Amino acid sequence: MTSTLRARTGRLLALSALSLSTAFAGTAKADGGYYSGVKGARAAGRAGAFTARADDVSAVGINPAGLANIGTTLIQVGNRFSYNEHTYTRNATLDWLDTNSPDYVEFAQVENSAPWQVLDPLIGITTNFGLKNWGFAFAAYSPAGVARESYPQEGGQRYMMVRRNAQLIDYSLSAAWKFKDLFSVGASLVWIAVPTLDYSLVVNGSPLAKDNANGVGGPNDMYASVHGHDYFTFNAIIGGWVKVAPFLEIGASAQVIPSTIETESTIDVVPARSDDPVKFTRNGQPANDVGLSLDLPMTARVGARYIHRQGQRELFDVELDGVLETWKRVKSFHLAANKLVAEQMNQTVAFSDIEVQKQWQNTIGVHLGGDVNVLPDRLTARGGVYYETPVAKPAYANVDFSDGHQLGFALGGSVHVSKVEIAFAYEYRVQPTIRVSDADARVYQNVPGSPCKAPYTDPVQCSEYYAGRAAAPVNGGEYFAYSHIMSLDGVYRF
Amino acid sequence: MTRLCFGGTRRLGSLLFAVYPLLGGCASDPLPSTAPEGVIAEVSASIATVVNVTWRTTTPTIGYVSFGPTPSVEQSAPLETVSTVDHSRTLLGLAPDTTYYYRVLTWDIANVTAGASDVKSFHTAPLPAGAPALTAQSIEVMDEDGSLEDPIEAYVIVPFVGAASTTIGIVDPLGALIWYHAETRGRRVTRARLTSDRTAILYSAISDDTPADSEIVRVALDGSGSTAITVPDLGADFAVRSDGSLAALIPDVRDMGGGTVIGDRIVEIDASGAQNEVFSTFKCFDPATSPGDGAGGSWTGANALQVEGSNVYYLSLRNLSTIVKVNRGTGECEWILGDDAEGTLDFEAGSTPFSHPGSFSANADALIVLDADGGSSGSRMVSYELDLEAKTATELQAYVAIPRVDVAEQGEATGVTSDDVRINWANGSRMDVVDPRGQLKWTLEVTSGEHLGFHTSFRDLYDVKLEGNK
Repeated sequence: MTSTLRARTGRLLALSALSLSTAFAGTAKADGGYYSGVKGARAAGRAGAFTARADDVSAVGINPAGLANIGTTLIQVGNRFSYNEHTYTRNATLDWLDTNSPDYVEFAQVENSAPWQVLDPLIGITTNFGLKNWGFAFAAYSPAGVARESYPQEGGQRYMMVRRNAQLIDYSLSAAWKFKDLFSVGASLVWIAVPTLDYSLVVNGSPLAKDNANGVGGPNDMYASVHGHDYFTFNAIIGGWVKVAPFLEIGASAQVIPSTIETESTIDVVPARSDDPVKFTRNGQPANDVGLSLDLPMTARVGARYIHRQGQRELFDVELDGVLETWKRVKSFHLAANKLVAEQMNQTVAFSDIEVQKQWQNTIGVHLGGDVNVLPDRLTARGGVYYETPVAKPAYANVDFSDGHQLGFALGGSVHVSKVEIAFAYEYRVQPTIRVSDADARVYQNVPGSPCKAPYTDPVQCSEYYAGRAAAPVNGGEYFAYSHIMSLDGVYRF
Repeated sequence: MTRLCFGGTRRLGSLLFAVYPLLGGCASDPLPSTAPEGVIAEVSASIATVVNVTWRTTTPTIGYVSFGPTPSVEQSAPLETVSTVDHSRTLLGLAPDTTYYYRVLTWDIANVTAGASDVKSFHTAPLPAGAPALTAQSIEVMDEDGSLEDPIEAYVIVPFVGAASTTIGIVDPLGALIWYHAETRGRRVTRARLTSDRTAILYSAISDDTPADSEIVRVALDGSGSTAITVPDLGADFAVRSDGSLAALIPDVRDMGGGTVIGDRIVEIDASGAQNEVFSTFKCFDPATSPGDGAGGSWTGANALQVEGSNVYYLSLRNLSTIVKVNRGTGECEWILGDDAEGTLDFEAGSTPFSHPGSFSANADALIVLDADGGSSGSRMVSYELDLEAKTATELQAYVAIPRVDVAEQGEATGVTSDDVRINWANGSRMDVVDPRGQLKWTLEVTSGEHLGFHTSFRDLYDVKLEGNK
């Protein structure tokens, strides 16, 4: 068998294997908001400073223009292991169930009880199909992030969130073209599938908002859980790359289509303090279907990479990237109840929409990282640091995502053995403590049956103790989050 | 060391972020303190068992005080109703010479923010010498279904009438004297009640030597002082109307055929002391046909008064052995029970009429009364069901004290709950609570010997609900 034939056969086998794969895989599209960090051990080891370099499968999400410069066929398989801690201590408050002498209630610290994320693989292939100035890639990946968080159902965070499980799989088909070695352009078409999107929290099911207004807990507390999926959401990423000088490369990319995940979901509501079931109807018929919508951000990246060479050999590079993500699109997690009516103990209540207020803001991330060829063609060391601005103002802090300032550093390396590169990275990502006073807090207890409407000052329908607010604020407190992230990839070039 | 922080008012340039892990963490600005400041508890100088707690808050808040004999502070004084920055709360129901723990809790409505002080402590003073000595006993009794009946949880305000002075006190369900005020001027105290705003206790201070100087005295529950309204010729009882004004019994002295006849009037008294007569016993009774058995010219001998709503008074006429319901607007008697000549209600066959009634508790269809002389074994509590259509009073229950007590003048029977009855044996220096089957549930004995004036019962020290509209 000739070397050309062996190469073509290898590419076909690799593509076949990839097309059969339905495992989660990932690369970085965005860094904050729903996501955290980057995937791909080589990109992660540089703290995500990879927009200009973009020379492996991670390029499909970071900068597809880089695919044109790979110049060979590359199969990348890896996994990301992470330990994601998130703690929250709610501010003490008064329990207004007793309006004469309301108890002073202090809350214990809660933490994510599902911190380990061990299956977070990356699978992708790039090739030029023998076309010198082209590069193509196919990858299946889930965006880097914390898929699950779980907190006690009786914890202080329960009116914000109890559990979430978000599995996103992105299938990306990419192509890039270059002009000599001076510049290149590329694009990725991304199919976003959401096989699972579960979110649960406790709501105050009382229709008597005035009498039962309190942010501590009452007889009408309900555990509401939403289970849904959305298999078809499309997006696209475009990118460019320019060699400004032999030692300086500029890369830029953008995810430019505003898209929204809109799930088909069902809702279940279980009373927290009674055994009487809650039934839902619509127009007199049993129904529990709801819609949950989550906006996705657009992103823009730009990176400048300095390459230090000795002769033709690259000794090290340093890259500085800036990332803009338009999380401002995310105003709230909106659960459309679509005129469901809840019935319990022969009482019916119009079940209004549930809003988890977000009011997120655009973020800017700065990533600085690079590689050092310690032993040419044998050992590479890499490292980097990054900072991302908070996606949420403190007033809208929540336990569902790490939404404050994000800082991190990464260390990594690669060992090269023949055509195989084993890349590894360790990343520490931290959200410094956020403290939110109840006066500032703007995430309110959901009271779907409440007759208290804006501006929430009706003395008949609204509680005097929360006058001017939709309900009790429930996100005041102290937040802290950090992640230990290990990435391990195998890269095969031929 | 100054810590480098992101967020809040100390935002730094992003270049510093790399050193974050080396700095041992960083945080947004600390939350502003919402804890109440300057929290002080002071034992009242005049009442050993009253403590005033004061505190300040930086923003207008409402607040309350939790307290108790242990650091878990399981009792509480109620929440303030108006936001302010300077706060004061009075703690009641305290035992003398006892260490208490307390904590102030606040709520800033505008900022929906709770605050709490540290748990602190104070020590109440001992009771003064001469305070009445009391013993109480609660007895567990079963109802007809074999279930344990609810214990007595009500407080009672009562004058302890001694030879030289009278102590007006509040007694808790355990028999402890938790509030007191001494009347040492030689005045005769017959009745003590709460003001309508529940901030003070009123009592009658009758001057037998100079009746024109008789007063109704108001003593602040927080021990801050007392005031008085002069009520010339004040009689044995007064009542508090829901609007805060008072009604009192006053003699109605008239010349009748050359002789003096002393009837009784109900007068209403406003805050200035101005009086307005709303009823006279001469309106419903005639001394010629209802002479009564009073001595010294005393004719009707009114000795107890009850107000119901805004338009009804009930009145006990001891010398006529009669209780009457008065329409305030017309001054007419709506019904009369007891008097042979003028009575509009009759005792049902088999029912024993009361004789020389003391104080009572009445409503539209029932009457509970301390019957000084109608029983065969001393004074008794007797209750009647009233049927205004049939114009009858049917005896439901009677109870006599063991050992026997013969009440001389005061004496009182009132409802505690819808079922239980509190019996004040006056000169018997004793008070009992019995259930509908006559089972004794609670008893209080004044071991120091003072007699009891008319009492007022209530459930909650801070949210007073007067029993039987008393």
